[in-house]
Amino acid sequence: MNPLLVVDDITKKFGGFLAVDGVSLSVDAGEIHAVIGPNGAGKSTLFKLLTGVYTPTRGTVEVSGTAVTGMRPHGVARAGLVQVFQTSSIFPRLTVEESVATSLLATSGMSMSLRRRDWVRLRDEVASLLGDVGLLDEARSIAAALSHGDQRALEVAVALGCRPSVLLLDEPTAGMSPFETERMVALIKTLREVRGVTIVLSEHDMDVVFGLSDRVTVMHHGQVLRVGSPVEVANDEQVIAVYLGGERV
Amino acid sequence: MTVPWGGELAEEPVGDNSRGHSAAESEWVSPRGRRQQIAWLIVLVVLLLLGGRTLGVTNVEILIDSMQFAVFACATNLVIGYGGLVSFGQAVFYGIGAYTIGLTWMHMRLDFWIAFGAAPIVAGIAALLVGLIVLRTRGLYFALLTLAFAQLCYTVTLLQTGFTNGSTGIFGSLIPSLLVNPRNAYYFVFGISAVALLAMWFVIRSPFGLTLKAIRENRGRAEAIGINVFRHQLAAFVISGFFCGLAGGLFVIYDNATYPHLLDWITSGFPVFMLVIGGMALFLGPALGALVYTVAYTEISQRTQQWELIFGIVLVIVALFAPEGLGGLVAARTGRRRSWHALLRVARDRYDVLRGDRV
Amino acid sequence: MSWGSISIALLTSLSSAASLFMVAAGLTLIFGAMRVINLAHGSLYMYGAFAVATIVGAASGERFWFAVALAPLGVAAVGVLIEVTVMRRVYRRDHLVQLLSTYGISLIMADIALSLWGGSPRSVSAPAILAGAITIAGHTFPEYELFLIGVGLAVGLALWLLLARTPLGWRIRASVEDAELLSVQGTNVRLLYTAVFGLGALLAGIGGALITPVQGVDLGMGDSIIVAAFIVAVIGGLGSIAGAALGALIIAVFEMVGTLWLPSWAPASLYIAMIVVLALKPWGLLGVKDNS
Repeated sequence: MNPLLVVDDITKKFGGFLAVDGVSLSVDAGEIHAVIGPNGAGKSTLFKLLTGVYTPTRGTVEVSGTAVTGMRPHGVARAGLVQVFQTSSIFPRLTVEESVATSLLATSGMSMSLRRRDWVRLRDEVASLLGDVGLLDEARSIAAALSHGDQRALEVAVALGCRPSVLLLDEPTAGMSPFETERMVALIKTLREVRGVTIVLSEHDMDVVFGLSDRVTVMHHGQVLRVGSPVEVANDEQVIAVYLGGERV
Repeated sequence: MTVPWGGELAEEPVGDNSRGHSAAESEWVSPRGRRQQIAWLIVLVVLLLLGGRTLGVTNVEILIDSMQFAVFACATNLVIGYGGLVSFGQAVFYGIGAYTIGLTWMHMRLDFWIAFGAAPIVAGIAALLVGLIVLRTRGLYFALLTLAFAQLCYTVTLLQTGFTNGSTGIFGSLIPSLLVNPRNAYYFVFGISAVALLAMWFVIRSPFGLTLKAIRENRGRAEAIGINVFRHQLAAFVISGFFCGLAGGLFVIYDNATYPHLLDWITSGFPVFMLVIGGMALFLGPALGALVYTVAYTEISQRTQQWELIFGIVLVIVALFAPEGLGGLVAARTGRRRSWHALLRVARDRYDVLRGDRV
Repeated sequence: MSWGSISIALLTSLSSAASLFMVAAGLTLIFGAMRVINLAHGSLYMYGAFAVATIVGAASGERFWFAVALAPLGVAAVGVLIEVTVMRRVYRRDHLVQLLSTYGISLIMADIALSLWGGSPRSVSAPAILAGAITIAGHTFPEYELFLIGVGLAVGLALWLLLARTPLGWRIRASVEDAELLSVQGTNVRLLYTAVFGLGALLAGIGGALITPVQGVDLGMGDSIIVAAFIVAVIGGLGSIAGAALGALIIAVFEMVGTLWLPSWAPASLYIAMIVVLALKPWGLLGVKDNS
């Protein structure tokens, strides 16, 4: 099987500082791939390089065989690589279903349409997306009135509305209560099983990483330290030394 | 986060003039609420239809004035309330609508009906040209640039005396004899206004209207999901300009004249305070504001010279304490109920967490 | 066209630029510190002019300097009153709320002005010491307007010194960056804002007081200057004093060119200048991008 997301030798230099140094990554369709590393390892910069927020100094990114290097963020989104942000980014005064419909309309090229039925036709797809993220009961709530966990779930649904082939999740459980974290983990599993979405996530919570991912990439000082299954990574001497602080997981 | 001078540090989204999200956050209404709204609307339409026959001529004229202002204010609300773009220059298109009729009459004696039909189209084309420039800026710069356009058009109209008649304006029999009778004019203006408001309602409810609101709420996020922000805002500006031009045409029916001040920034301010008084979160809020403004102006200016003082005080109070307007106060009840549900849900989540910890 | 008439046109534009700069500097100073735009700023200017006209009264020029010293202080007091009652409630609020409430204030002030001073225009003559005129290549130019250009330069210099060299200026600039940090370090930010607003009003008052010998004092003068002052502030970049000076100069040049070669378009040149500048530089010449 061909990998869905191929990152080759991507590098970003800020002045003299190499934030990301020759990172290569290959993620298969349907895989859940975690990128971990201590603070400042270059995870956030890597994500910004993938989504086109930063232009790489060197290297390429391909999604489903299409080169997206150097594209503007909305072009990358159209190509199927969509990010869910770490900071909350909702449409505060739209309802939950309106928020999801907005991204579905944009993706289907109907955002300029003046016919309401173009929107009504999408109702089923909106409902199925909301069902997947567990927000069906909240379809008519105002986004700003949702709890933090629900707002993150809504952001996932809005991102799914772009019909992505690869979903980038930047610290999906940051700031969540244990209950909300559990729900997010279940949601990510559902996305892969039901929608077949390939997921790349960065995460600090090791329980989440080891409970979810098929493969893990460990970054350190902007470089890839180790790639492997959660078990391989957890038992790697080098990884334990620089990242897990010498303790076995 | 609270800071010493009592403001909030959190950045509010453009167009969000409410403190927090207490009222009128969404246009969504329950089916029962929708039936009630339709019933009220039918009552209103029937009353307005009867009013044209039974009311005195003065009141009929006040209503004509309110209706053309209602179209102007609702059209402006497409840009301000739904687009989140504070424009102080919509009078440009209102004035262009009026002058399309005035100038074609003055120079060519063009048939009124053709000129009336052309007015919104000319205004829409003008909005396209102006929009291409002003939409490059944001926030306050947008407000001031639209204001500058209004003053530019006013000044040019004032100065080109030979072409526009300058400060005198254009007087004469601009409108056909049929519409000189105020009762006929009333029904004509009523019909056109109703169709215009309905058309704008469909625009708001369309996928385009939804996308426009999403841009207002979170521009960056809208861009990230692949929405071309500039194109949507430009389209909203053109549609608004079209209906402002139509309102300008209706003004000519009301007054049988055009003046340069129809284009200036003071006239641009009228629909802005109408939509704030009436409430910009509700579709018909600006129309309510137009009625309140016109009636209040007529009543107060008959009794006292201090109209500006009273109006200024009302404006400051509304802006400070009730930026949701009259319509917002009505909608606040449903809003509060919704927040109550949100509170309950948060409490439920907390409970689940506690229970999870105990197990 | 002789160079004499050109230099007279240039001096005339410079003198109007000087008074425009004083009003625009107040606007931009207030915006720079509090991010609020004050539509009533033109009314403060008008109050300055009427105060001078009232104090001078029939005494034709004798009390001019006394009036010019006193009137701006009175206007600054009115500014402080406005800040305490209304403005401090609209900082950090939506632009629409700010524009509407200050528009409301300008209406209230217009009505009060009508009751206080009536609708008829007044005139003030220049003080005897500046009543003469200089002659350039056969064309005359009033000495008073030369004085006005000088005052404009002096006010610009004083503002620059204030902002760049004094603790108050340092605090004003710091409040733009991080007002919370400033307050934690012991500055009374609320008082600072009142002071800045008062200073802005003082500048409008000076502008209004000094314009009286040049043009008639009437109720419409505030409305006509406010739009021009906005344009000057916006062309230069809102919040930048140097930008306001630059903007005033650009407007002066535009107006001069308009007056000399396209008289029927001269009044429109102001708006055309703004539209051209903002189409090319959406944040003004010296402004910084503001995403709010």
